[in-house]
Amino acid sequence: MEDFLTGTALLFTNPIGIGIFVGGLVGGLVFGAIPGLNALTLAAVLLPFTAWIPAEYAIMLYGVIYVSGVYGGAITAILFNIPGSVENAPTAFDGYPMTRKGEPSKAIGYAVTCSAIGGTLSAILMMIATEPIADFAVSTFGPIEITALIFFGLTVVAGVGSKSLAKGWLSLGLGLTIGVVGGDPVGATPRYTFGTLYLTGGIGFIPLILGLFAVSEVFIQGQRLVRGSYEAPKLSVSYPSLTEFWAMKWAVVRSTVIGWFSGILPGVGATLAAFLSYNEAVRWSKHPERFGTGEAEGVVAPETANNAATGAAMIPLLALGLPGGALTAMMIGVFNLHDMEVGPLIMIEAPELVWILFASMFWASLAILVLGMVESKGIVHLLRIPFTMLAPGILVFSTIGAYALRGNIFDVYTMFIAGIAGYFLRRSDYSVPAIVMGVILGQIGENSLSQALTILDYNFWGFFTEPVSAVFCGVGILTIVWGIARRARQYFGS
Amino acid sequence: MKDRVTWEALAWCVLILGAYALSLDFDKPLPHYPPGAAFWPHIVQFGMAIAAIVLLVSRFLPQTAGDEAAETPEYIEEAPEDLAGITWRTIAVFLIPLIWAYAMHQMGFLLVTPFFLIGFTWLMGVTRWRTLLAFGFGFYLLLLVVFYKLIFTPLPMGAGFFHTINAEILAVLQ
Repeated sequence: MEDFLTGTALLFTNPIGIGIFVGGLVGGLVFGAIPGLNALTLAAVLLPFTAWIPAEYAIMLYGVIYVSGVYGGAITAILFNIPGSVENAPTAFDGYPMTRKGEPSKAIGYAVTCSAIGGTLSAILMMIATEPIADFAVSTFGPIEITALIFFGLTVVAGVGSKSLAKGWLSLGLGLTIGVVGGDPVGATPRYTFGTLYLTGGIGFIPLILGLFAVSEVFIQGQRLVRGSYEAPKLSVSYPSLTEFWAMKWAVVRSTVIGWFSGILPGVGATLAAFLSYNEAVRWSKHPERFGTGEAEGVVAPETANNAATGAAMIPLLALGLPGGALTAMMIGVFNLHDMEVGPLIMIEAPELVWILFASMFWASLAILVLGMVESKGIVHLLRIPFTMLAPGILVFSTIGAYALRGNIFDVYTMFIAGIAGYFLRRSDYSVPAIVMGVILGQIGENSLSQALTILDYNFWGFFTEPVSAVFCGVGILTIVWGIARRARQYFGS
Repeated sequence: MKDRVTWEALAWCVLILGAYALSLDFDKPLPHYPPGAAFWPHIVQFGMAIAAIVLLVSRFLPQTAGDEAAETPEYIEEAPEDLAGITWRTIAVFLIPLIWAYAMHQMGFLLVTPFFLIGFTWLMGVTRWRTLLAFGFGFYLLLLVVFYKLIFTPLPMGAGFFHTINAEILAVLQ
């Protein structure tokens, strides 16, 4: 507690510290909300400049950007079906349908509150138990367990967003196939690249999600507008009631735990946290068929988890020097710029730096709650802009987002092709969420599968002899059987 | 509807077979990984083949009460199911963004975006020229300020002669 108060005092007694904190908070929110230009872009732009500010404030800036950027991306995901960054993609699955139902403010209210709760709990846990939990997680979760976890996640994903189980699995398979394009994770052997340099690095994920969500949405609504059947989303500024929040308590607890443990695992981070948490929300729900149609829990789960992962991601970074994702990897760069090395000794050598980081992430999570509450009432009025003007705006912003990340025009073509494909797939009841989750989980899954098989000497039964992976594999198989049984009951009667 | 399911299942089969055939190019053991680079794609293709067969079989099953109850709720805006009443404007909704992307590749973002903004807004049904010009150039100005003056985002500069023009405009802007 004393350390936390010291960190807080260091943060708020210096005008430079306050300025950097506020700048990081607003910058993360703004960049997180611009499609393609996520908080990572801001972090990359600022990296060279951090050499001129004190180390503790430089690290604090990155912690704050991380927290606010992860929340910022939820706003456009909810209002316009444009996830600001990858970890906000599952928020769009139900957030945007809530907007179409006339509940944008409610969806943003859930997102902001749950982001704040997830972030705050995560910051508290981070302060209490950095070292022991890092040791436990890193020693328990290796490639075998991560592969099993991904397998389990995939079995749940197939049931999301489509009325037909077969179409759900085909959507997932399409996503997994898209994820295969590029070099394989072991030998970087080119796969499905057709000899082009562009495809060697794989299909860009940001252009893909911008195409599947935002562009396909413009095509669908644009076609309705042209045919005269377009209906503008209804506008309401009702914040979720306390009773409604209370009904989400288990979803919040579950998602915080999932987000936290995903955040600890190196290389996994907030993205997988959001996707797994969404999967679990579907699996535990009494009405899984409602997901994808505007279910509030579909916003609560990913937003709690992705923010819960932010604090947890600091644990392997500080305790072991292992980054959980791109932004935490940049933080290592900040440490290096100040001639410091992250690792177990950092807590002893520079405690003030660690505690100012912990305190800033805690206060940033709370600040998001205040800012977000104000914002949720105001920002929904963006929906008053007529779709006739919104549509070109969405296309331009999406194009900038797709292009700016790698400076490659083919990313823009990819986005538009994904948009057209998304339009036809949605028309035919295929699941866009399953495609997106297939891409992200498939890439992580293949990487860990190859490592796991090497460890297990290419013996698949090894997944069932390790206790943690056996549990995940078993529950995954049961999920498949349960899905088939449910469909069979519909056809052949109970 | 059932014919459509058949065609979809067949299309999936063609896609899976095509992916399998293409995977033969890289289907060989790697020095440190005997299953090889095609191992994972083959698992995926096997799973997709089963799902495609199930989809095809489902075409012969009667629609159940469960299916009918699972109709998409009214508030979910899905794409119109029929293609009747397609006009040139409907097709233009798809084509104009693609043409814009290509033109941007060749002529640069700065030169073609105002025309796209005005053209697409007009296509969406705004016909008053004053509104079109005010929105088109107002929004374009906003883009210039945000992406060229504030956050210096690299955007397509076009090729050859157009690259030079864009570079000149950019130099004036910045």
